[in-house]
Amino acid sequence: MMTFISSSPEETVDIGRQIASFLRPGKCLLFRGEMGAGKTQLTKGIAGYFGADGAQSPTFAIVNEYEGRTPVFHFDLFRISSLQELYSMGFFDYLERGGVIVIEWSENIPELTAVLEDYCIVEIEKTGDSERNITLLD
Amino acid sequence: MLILGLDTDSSVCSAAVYDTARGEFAARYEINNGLTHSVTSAPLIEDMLRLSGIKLSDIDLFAVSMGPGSFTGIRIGVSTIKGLAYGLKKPCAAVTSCLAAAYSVQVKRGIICAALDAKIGRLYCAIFKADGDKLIRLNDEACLTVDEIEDMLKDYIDEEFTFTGDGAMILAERLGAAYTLPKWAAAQSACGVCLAAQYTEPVTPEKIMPCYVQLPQAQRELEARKGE
Repeated sequence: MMTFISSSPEETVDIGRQIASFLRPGKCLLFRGEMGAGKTQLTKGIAGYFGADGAQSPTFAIVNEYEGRTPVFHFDLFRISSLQELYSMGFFDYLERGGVIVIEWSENIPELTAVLEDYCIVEIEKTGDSERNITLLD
Repeated sequence: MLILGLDTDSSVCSAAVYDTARGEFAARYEINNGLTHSVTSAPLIEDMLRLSGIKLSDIDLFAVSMGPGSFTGIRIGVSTIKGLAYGLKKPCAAVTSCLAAAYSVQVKRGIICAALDAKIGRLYCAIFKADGDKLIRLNDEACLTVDEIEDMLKDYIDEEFTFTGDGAMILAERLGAAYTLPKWAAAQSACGVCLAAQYTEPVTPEKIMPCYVQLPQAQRELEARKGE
């Protein structure tokens, strides 16, 4: 377990970069955090570390792909409610594409942690207006 | 007759041309480089045909593995073959990935269990009985755990087993098989697609459809958990 403390969106991006430096292709990060917690900022940092700019929320697209040195696949499962739907949008194919996978709203598919082999839960907790505790759980 | 087979159901993309008159493969191509098959499958077919001196118009039957397997892969394979056959006004044959894996081992007797890794702790599995060169299907493809497959195979305990497909190792280990094909050879491939297509009724391109196989068990588990 590892906790980072952020006091601004910019710092959250920077923490994303730090987290990215530990990641290897195939790793799935499961974000837990309410709306506005900074999940997209954190992803900006992660994609930025690998050399891809412009990460933004994939709520409507369900997945955004950022082509950097290591690709980053950014999912939002807000509108996905079953493993079958996840399969039907090609999610499991992304696991084999040699990228880092960032997943928002993974809580929607509780059995995801049972089927993923290499994942880490990232909790983003609002502790103030712009303060956040960002914790990596094993 | 020349059969062109394509398999894009897993991380491997393969294509082959089988010459039924000679009973041999005129060409076999396979790559496993992690790229999406939408980029690789068409050039792979083109290169294979060019280097082996076969024209697309020489192909009599276009065959494809219709799944189950990678959701994106299946769609790429099926649409590629549909497009080629439609453009050339040739017939198509769609075979399941398990049937292709079962035909690829060319075993003449006993039970063939084809298992493909579904990547979620499950295998796509179907079993067949060998009857000379032909295979008789014993069940439909399903997405099962190793335990469920073990249970299913108990009905055939007195038979000789052959395991095939990229999930064969997992099963063989559990069930104590002395030998199974190495993973690279056991991966479902275009060769099995061609061999299986010989025994499949040819259809017009619009008739072939992907075979996804639902995840009913996983779904039930989720429902149960939600209800708790």
